[in-house]
Amino acid sequence: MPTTPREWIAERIADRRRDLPFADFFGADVTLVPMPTHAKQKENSLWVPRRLCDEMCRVNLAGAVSACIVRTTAVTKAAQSRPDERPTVEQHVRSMSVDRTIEELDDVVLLDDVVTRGATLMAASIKILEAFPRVRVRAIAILRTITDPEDFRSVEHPCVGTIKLYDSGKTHREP
Amino acid sequence: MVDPVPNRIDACRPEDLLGPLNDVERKFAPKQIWFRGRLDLLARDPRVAVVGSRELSPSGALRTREVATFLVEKGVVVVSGLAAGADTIAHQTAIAAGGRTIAVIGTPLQTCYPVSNRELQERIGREHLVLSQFEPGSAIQRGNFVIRNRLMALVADASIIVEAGDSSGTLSQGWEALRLGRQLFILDPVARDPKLVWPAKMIEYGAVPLALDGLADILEALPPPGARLHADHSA
Repeated sequence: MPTTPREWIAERIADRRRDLPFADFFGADVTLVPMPTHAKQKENSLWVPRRLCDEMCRVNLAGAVSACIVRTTAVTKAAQSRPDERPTVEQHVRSMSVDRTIEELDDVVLLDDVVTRGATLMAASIKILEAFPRVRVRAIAILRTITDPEDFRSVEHPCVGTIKLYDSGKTHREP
Repeated sequence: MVDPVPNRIDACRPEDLLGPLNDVERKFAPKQIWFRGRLDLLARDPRVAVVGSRELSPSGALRTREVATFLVEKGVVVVSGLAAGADTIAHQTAIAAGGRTIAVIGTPLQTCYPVSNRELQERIGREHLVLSQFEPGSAIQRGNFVIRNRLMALVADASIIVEAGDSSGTLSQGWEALRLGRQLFILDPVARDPKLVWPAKMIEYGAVPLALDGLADILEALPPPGARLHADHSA
């Protein structure tokens, strides 16, 4: 029996894996990369995406976890800021760095606990592709924010979507 | 949840008061917490720690009152450490505004420091809640107050530093809140004071400057009033 939310999430995904529209995001060849928090982190502080990655690896949804993206300067936390104050993709890119000393990556799935507009995920994918140009990058978020309550269908509503980057530096997530 | 007896000192595990803890939270959590007062203050509504220097400037005192009053108006429980200065003002303001307050103290429950707060501690124990991780009868040590700050950070959903110097003991609470992944706010103008080193450092690690005209930002970091049974931070 899972005893923590992260265990429950990982086991739930593993149990339902075949029915999920993103079943091919998982596998032994996949490396999960946890998204950094919005600021620098002290060692041993709470890092929820890292914990989710470790748990998902434990239940064989991925072959490895690589914490290769770190935040070097703080940005505003998207989930707690007004839409016009959320950091742009460019600001996210400038605030992150990638550990280029790790072995070549092939199939990367970025993992975040919550996705708002997707700017963090977009920036992280840009950073990964700069460092490892041949890698395939996809992303998973456990929760997605919903602006219009009428769009809410159910607590558990797995889906595949897209995040688009516009010339303005803003992103749009669908759904 | 433990069943409190009015005016009596009881002890329980942190999990009994706060719900399940993750390993990051357990790391510095005490094995036992002694308490006196209303445990319902931990059961439902959000809690915010308001902390700062013992030697508070007059403008810092005004800002502390403003923050504590705002929190009470929004149904938030004001947590502080019953020290002189900012802590005392936070507790007193919360009580005067008709709100609820929790004192997390650095001494055993029967002892009071500073002594000038004895009456305040008694009142909080009678009408609100006092918590201590120090066994009744144990010696008071200087380091206890820093250790107490870790418990205060654990008890609070978010912390606000209203004023502190670079060597203030209050800073230990700020770092602990960040380690726990809880929101830490630093009140302006202290957050942008170029003479201080600590605010910029903490902002690098995720602390957020807080303006007096933007206090509503605090609410974004909290569970809504009434929504909590036990906050589950156990990711």
